[in-house]
Amino acid sequence: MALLTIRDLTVEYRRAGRVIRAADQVSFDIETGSVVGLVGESGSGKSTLALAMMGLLPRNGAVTGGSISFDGAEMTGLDETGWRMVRGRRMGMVFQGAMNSLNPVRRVLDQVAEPILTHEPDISKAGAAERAHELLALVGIPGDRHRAYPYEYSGGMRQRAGIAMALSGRPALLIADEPVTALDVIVQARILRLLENLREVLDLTILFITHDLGVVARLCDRVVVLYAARAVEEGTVEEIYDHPKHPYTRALLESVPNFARGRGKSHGIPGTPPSLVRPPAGCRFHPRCPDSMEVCSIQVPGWTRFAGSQVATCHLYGDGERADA
Amino acid sequence: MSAPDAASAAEPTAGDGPVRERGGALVELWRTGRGKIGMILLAVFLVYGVSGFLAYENPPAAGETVEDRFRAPSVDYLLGTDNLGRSVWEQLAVGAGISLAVGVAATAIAVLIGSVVGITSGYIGGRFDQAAMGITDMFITIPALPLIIVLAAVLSRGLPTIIVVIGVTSWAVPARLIRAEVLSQRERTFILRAKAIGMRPLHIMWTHVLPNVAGIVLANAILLTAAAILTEAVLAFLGLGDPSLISWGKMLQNAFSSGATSLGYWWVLIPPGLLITLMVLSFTLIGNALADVIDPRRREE
Repeated sequence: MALLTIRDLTVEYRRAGRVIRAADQVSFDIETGSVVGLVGESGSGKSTLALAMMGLLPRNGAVTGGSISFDGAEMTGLDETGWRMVRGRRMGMVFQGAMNSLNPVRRVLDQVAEPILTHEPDISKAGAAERAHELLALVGIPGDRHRAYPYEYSGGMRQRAGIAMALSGRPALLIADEPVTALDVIVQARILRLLENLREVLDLTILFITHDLGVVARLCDRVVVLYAARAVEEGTVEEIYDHPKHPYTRALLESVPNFARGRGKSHGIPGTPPSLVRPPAGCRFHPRCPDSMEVCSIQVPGWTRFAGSQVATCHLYGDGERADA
Repeated sequence: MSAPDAASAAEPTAGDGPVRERGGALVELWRTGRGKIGMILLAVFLVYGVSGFLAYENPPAAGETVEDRFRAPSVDYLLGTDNLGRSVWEQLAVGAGISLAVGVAATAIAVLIGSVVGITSGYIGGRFDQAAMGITDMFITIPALPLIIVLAAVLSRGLPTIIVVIGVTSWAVPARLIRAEVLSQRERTFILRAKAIGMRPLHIMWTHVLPNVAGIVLANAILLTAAAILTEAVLAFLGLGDPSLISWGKMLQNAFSSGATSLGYWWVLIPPGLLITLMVLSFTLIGNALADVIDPRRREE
């Protein structure tokens, strides 16, 4: 059963009288217990989707269409009180800047205990502290460092603490927004292994947001590829990596250096991501697409369903019937 | 991407973060020259004020004979006597307590109002911010001293009135400063994280915003204390203070009204003036040094 169902979700920002559509009719599901990767370049709308799911869009942003359904309940249109019941308790979030997501003047333990005290008013401070200790131990922070301040932590430890904070309210869904982006590869690998372990130990469902396809391959079951605020392809990790259908997905995969195949060189994608203020007509990737055809600049391609669960939206595969995913 | 398999997930990350060598703020404050001078001065005033509060009545007893008037400093009367034969030393001692009490209490009121307005205004933003800052700007623009004089003259005479009047007329500048700092703190990720775990706005302001602006609040409070002490002296000098109590400003007023200035009785005039200056100086030194300790960018200048 799908824990989270997103249908035709549209998010718009208003700035200086202009409307910027940062998510345009995006749809995907997250099955209970699965790890879904949301992949795209900067500005493709990844973080906007994450914030929309938590009801944390900035003041000038709003969901203007579509639905977010979590565990069978509709989230769009919730008021602040409703959202507060969801945040931290049903959905937890890990942020990119590990350092910045910790308050520098408060002890790590106190910050990990915060969601517990927020959502369980009956629990004693000692009880909350004990659970915070357990969580910090679970994410691999030695006991004598639990009461330290964030500046005494290394980057990796900070991100572990950040994960502990996101999990201490016992959420069913963990949204991890570029959790390993600012870390070096060895620490990255350890954090990813930690997430894998936590997933099994705590029965977590994870939405993993990243621009790094290498990271996705390690951790995720399914992948949703975003380009310029739209989803362009979705499938299992194997489907996407072995048979990418959308030219953008292919280009993205080719831009990851693959030393195992003896090709040390990566290929960039020519051009720059389009402006969301005035996005290209038709398929938004067509100005950079090597397989671009005349129809691409005129008509938005429909969804084509491939073998298994893979879907892509590209004119290369004919108009295709509109798939549900 | 492949990862080393040897490392287990539960293993702590190698390379602990930089552990900054850190004494308390007081130690760092002591290390600055200005902070040291200010703290020593303030300590002397505290001892003097407490001793005055414990040892002498306020106002000190008048002299018994006409000969007691305007006695020059001697062994019996360290700083001589005034026109009523009251010991200047005793008056200074009880006046120190008044200055400190008014300075601290008025500042507490100003900082409380300023923090509440500054933090809520900066954090909530939008129309609330505009309205709150409109009122704040009004208070900044109104010349404070005339307003204080009018209020002190209209309201009942007494120390509490002085404290409240100074307090409610000096919160606006700190409110602006605190709001500015909150605006930058508000955008930090840990505030977003606090929202993402479902904390209420008031709770976020209390546990995440306030501790991060506390340093600025404190440095500002100490500078405000200096201003409040000065204002109290001005009010007392103008005859708007508590008529039943001796304070340093009142001593200056007595010196002028009794003719001590023109008669050249310097011991009646100079000591209270000097002590007002030194006490204001001590708070100013500490406040500035503390602001430097808290904000390293200022220190480099």
